[in-house]
Amino acid sequence: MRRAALAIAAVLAACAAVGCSSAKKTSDAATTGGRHELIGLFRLTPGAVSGTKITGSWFRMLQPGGNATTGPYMINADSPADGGQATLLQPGASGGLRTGGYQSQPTPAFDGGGNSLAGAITAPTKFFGVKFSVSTNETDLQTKSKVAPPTVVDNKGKLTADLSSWAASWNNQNFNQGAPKPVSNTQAQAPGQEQAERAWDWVSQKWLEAAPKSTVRGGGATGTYDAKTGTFTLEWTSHIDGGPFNGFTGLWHLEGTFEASGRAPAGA
Amino acid sequence: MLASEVPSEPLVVLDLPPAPPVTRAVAAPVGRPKAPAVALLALGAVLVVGPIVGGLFSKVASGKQMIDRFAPHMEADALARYRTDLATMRQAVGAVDTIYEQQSVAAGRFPGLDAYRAQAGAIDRRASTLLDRVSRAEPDYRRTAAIGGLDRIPFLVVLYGMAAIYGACVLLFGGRRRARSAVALVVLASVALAVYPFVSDLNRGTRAGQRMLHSFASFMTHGEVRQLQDDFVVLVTAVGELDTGFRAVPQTGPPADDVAAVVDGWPRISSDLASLVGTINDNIGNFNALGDLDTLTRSVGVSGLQGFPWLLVGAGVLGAALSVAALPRRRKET
Repeated sequence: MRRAALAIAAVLAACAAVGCSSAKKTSDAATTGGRHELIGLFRLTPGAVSGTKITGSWFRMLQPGGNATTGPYMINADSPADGGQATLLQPGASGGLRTGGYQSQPTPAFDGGGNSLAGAITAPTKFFGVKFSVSTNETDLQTKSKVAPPTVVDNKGKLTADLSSWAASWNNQNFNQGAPKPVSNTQAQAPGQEQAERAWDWVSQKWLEAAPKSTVRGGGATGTYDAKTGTFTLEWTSHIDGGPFNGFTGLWHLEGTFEASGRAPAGA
Repeated sequence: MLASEVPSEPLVVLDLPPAPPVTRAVAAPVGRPKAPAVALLALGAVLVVGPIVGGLFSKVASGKQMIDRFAPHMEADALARYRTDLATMRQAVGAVDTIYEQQSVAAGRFPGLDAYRAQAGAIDRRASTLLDRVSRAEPDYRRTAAIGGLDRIPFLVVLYGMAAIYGACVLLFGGRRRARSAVALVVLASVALAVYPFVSDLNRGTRAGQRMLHSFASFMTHGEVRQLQDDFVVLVTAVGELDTGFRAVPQTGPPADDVAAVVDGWPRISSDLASLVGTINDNIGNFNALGDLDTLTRSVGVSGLQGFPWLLVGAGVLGAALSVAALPRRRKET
């Protein structure tokens, strides 16, 4: 009888230990070793220009072979900032970038004039006579690769972000403008090749202990965060691979205020 | 008196002649011609391994992808629209020159327009040349695109190779009955392989494909894409000035209409140009892969694409002949 009681006590203790451990993991999902995932809305401060000073959120497009600090940048005649070298961004219907979920491109994505209809993150903005905008998508529109939803991690005021799903749309064209960059999945494939590769990946991971293939490359976005005020900045550069602007580079600067909220439902 | 008591007569001893030996007809020996069976085995192995080692699957898939992606640009209305775009740009630059002259616009006031006016002739020539080449390649493109099941041809070759290997193995090591059915299978597969180029229009299609490659070669390069991008930068900057600062310059009559036409049409023009440049850029790799396929047999003086259908016909005829020659048969009595 005593043995049975001890055994039950031991089992209960083990269960309690496991339970505590899982509970701890759950509570640590957003905070790990000082790193804190910021889940919610990064509300954008509208881009503005006063003289030569640009504030808020903006975008530049660097020409091939150019330098990120000195250019040459594409001159957008529709923008008043820095002689058109910068294009000011205005927050979209959602107020800005949501992490932990996607803000996908609508269907249809463009109107008859090629203007982007994606209006959640930023408001469509004129760029060379045609409005461009931004969305984040589970399957990247240009590379056709599955990408993670936007993730921003705060480490004592320093931000690192996975914005691989960040995509710009303009004039019936889509350009991945994320950081890190998704690995392109648009190369020609023989019939059945995709299924064969998927089966091989499964086998190699399950039986040969091969590491899963990386779906992104390069570094992510970086920035700053003030936990007291919620103000943030996020910056990154994104080389355009493929399409009509192959070799050009996008320079993105977002700033605004972070508003914590729940994780967006999957596939939203 | 009991019957058993009747005295029995002794048995008569028969003296029979010895029986003649039983003889059976001796079957003629069955011959298994080894050489054709081994040759069939080798042919099968080459047809299975060759496409895999030579990257035929990926090269053909690349060609198919390039053809599919160019489809929207090869439509007659798309080509006509590109010509209209060029005409609109051409008229606009003439109009801008007129307005500059009429209004004595100083050089340097609109640097983007100045650059465009200086380069307009060269940009127009390059764009027209590109469009001419694309248009000229259109009939060959159509014939190439009409090849049925282009990306499945390597599978056909490998499957045929496997059938040949199976048939050869049965002919070398299997029973006589199975040998007949194996030969039937190989002959059937051979006919399918040899006939396929004619049924799928592969013969005409690959000749057209070779000419299409030749036509595309002049613009399917990174240098061409870079040049088109440079031209695009000049154009967008100029149109941007036309749509903003240049509006302050008084404009009347036909020149004003021509300037308005290019500004209003710019979303369509830039979309067409961006789409075409993007398609060229994204298919340079596919074009090169198809080019590799064509140069595969260049060392023996034959275009790979042109020779390909005849390779299938030749392999089919050879396989059928070898399998029939390898069929086990009785040797004639001497």
